[in-house]
Amino acid sequence: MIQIDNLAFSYGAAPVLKNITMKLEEGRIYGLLGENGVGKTTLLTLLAGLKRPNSGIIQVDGQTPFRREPSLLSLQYYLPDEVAPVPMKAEAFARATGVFWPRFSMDDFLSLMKELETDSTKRMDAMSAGQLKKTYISFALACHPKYLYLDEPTNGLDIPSKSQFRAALMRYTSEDAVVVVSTHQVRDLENVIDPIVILDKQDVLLNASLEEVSSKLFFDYGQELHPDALYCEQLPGGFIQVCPNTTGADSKVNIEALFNAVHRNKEIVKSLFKA
Amino acid sequence: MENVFDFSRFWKYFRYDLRQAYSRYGVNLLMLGLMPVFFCVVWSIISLLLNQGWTTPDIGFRIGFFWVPFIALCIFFPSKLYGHLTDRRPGSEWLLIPASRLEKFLSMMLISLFVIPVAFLLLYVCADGLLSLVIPDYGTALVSLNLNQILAEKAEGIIRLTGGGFWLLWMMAAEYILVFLLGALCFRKAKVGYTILVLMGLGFVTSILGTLLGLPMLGPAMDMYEEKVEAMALQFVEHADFYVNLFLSLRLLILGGGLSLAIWFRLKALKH
Repeated sequence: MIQIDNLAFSYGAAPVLKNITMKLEEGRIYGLLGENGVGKTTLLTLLAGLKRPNSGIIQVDGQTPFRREPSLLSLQYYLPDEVAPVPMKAEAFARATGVFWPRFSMDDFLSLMKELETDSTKRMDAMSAGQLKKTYISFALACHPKYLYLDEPTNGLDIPSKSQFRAALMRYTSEDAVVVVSTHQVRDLENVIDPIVILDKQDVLLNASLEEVSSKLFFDYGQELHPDALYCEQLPGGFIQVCPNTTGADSKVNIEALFNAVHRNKEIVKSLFKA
Repeated sequence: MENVFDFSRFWKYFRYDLRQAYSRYGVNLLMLGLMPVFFCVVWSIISLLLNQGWTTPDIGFRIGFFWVPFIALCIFFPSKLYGHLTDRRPGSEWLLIPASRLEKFLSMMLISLFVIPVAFLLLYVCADGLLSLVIPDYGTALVSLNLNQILAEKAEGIIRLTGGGFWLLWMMAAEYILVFLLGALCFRKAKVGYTILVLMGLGFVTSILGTLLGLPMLGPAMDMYEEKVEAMALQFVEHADFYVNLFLSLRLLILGGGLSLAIWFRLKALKH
C-alpha cells in the first residue's frame, strides 16, 4: 500500500505539489489525470524515489522511496515518458537487467515483445521511439513488480499497439499490484484505469473508483439538456452531460467528461465526494 | 544490513556493470590498447615516405607515445562509462536498479580503478610485445623494461620505485580517473572540458596561495631551523627511495580517499 501524507514538492521557488494526501491500495490500476504542469510526472518520480519530497511523507510498504533501498526497488518499476536507447539488443538488455527483479520472467518478456510486435533481437539504439517504448513496456510488465508507475505509456504507440498494451497490462499485472498510470490519453486507457485520481495545482481533486464516481455523478448521453449539468459537450447525435446523481441511476463513466466536469466545478465535486 | 550490502546482489550488479562497460567502452578500449600497432604502422609509412626506408619507432618514442593513449584513457573513459548518470533518462534507470548505493559505488570503483586500466595495460603491452616478437627491428618490449635499472643509472640508485614502476603508473591513473569520474558525475555537459577548467582554476589558486602564504612562512622557518632543515635534507637524500614512495602513497591515500568520498556523496545526492 502507498500512503502519502501532506506531500509537498517544489522546483526551486516554484511549488508543484502541496498538501497532497492520498492512499493507493493494492490490486488497483490508478489513472493519474491532470492538466499540464500540475505535477503528475513529479508525483510519479517521488513515488519511485527519484526525488526527495520537500516535506510530508511517502510510505510504500512502510518504506521511504528516496532511500532507494534494494528491498523496495526490487518491488517497483518506473517507466518514464521518454526512455533511454541502450546500445544493446532488447533480449540481452532484458536478460542482463531482469536479474534484479525477483519476479522477472524472460519468457513473459519474449511473449510480450511478440504480442506487441517488436523484434527482441534488434538493438535498442536502432529502434524507433514506438518500438523502444514497447520494449520497455514489455520489460516493465515482465518484471511483475508490485508497484508499477507508468508515465504516459501510450505516447508514441500506434493504434494496434494501444489495444495490445491494454490487454497486456490487464493480463500481466498481478492481483496484489498497485499500478499508477499517468496519462493525457484517457481514451487509450478507458476500461482499464480504476480508480481515477485527478490532480490539480497543489491539490487532489478526486480519488475515487469508477463505482463511486457513477454513484455520485450521472453521465447522460441523451439529447435533452439538463440545467443542473456540471459539464456538457455536444457529440454527433446528442450530448454528453455530467450531472449530480440524485436518483442513484446507473451510467457508464466517460473519463474525459468526468475530468472536464471536475475541472470546471472543483469545489462542488470535492464536496460531493467528501460526503 | 541486507539493504546495505549483499554479496550475491553485488556480484549480480558487478557483472551487469561490466557488461554495460563492455558495450559502452569495449571498442574504444580495444582501439587504445592496439595503439602500438597503429603507431608502428604510421611511423613506418612516414619513414618510408620521408627516408625511403623502413624503420620502426625506437624505445624512447615508444615510451613517450605510451602516455598519449594512457592519458586519453584516464580522461575520457569515466565520462563515457558513467557520464550518462547525470542525464534524466539513463540516470533514472540506473538509480532505480535494485542494488544498494554501496554496491553500485564499489562496482564503479572496481571497474574504473582496476578493470579498465588493467585491461588497457594488458592489451597495450601484449600488442607491443607481439610487435617486438614479429618485427626484428622493433626492439625490446615495453613490459620487459626495468624502470628501476634505468633510474639507477640516471639517479645514481637513490630512488627505487615499488613494483617496478607499475605502482606509480597505477597511482597516477587512479588520480586522473577519480578526478575525471567526479567531473563526469558533477557536470551535465562538456564534462571533460569543465573538469580541466576546474583543475586549471584550482592549480592557479593554489599556486597563488602558495606564493602568498608559503614563501613568507617558509623563509623565516628556514632561517630559524637551518641546521635542522639541512639535516632533514641529508636524511631525505639518504632514504629518498623510502620518502618518495611514502609521499606518493600518502598522496594517493589522501587525494584518492577525498575524491572517492566526493564521488560517494555525489551518487547519494543524484536525483532526477
